Amino acid sequence: MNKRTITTVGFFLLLLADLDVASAANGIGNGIDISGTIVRLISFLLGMCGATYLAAGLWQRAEKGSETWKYLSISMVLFVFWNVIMAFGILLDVLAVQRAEHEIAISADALNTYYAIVRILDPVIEVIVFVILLFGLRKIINAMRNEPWSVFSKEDSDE
Amino acid sequence: MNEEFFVVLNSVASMIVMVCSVLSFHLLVGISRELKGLKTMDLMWKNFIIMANLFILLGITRAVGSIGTIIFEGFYPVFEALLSVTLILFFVFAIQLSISIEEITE
Repeated sequence: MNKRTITTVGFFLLLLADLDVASAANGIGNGIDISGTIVRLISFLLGMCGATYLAAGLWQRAEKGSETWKYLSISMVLFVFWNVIMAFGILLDVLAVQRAEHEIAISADALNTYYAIVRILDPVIEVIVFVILLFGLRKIINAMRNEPWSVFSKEDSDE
Repeated sequence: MNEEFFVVLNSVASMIVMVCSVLSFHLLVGISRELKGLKTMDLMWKNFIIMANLFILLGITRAVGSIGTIIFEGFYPVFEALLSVTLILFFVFAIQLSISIEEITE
């Protein structure tokens, strides 16, 4: 994929998100704000895709170079889980509002349990992601200071 | 589970994330200084630094958003929107970083 295409698509999505900011600032966010909800959902799905691709790239890098990249890769995999949970949270929000308006057949207890699970997992996974990121960055900087060649290659110690 | 439990959990998590983010930012500054010795990896490292900074920004936005929402609920949609903007930017630079890593690996 061309880098220019990615950047163009990114800025287009950013424009959509700016509309979301504007609607939020105007106080339209009560109930279900359809455009805002869609933008949030799309952003979490994009976060999922980006983090998965990056995790795969970093793992591949770790296989051919320093093991330190694996920490960042694991952090990205957990970040994917966080995005999944947040996307699920948005769907629960929509379901809760729709249930109140159209009496969808889902019990309040089940909905509350799902909410509780999402609200517990969200901060816990977030903390784990950032702690692993911190350790990963510390390992990378240590490797760069002590054995700079090992960051990129297991064999070529001359680079 | 009562509401206070979630408030405490979110606040503690936000504090830890903020501390980790600030420390990670310091480490990134250190990595930037070390880069002088690895001039051949310029593009990949540039993307790596931008991606890591966006990731840290994401964590700080989320943490400040969680605490801000406890203080004033009106902040919630604004912080959610900011989170979306940061996530989209993160997506763009994560893909760019992956492409540069692939180029180096090949």
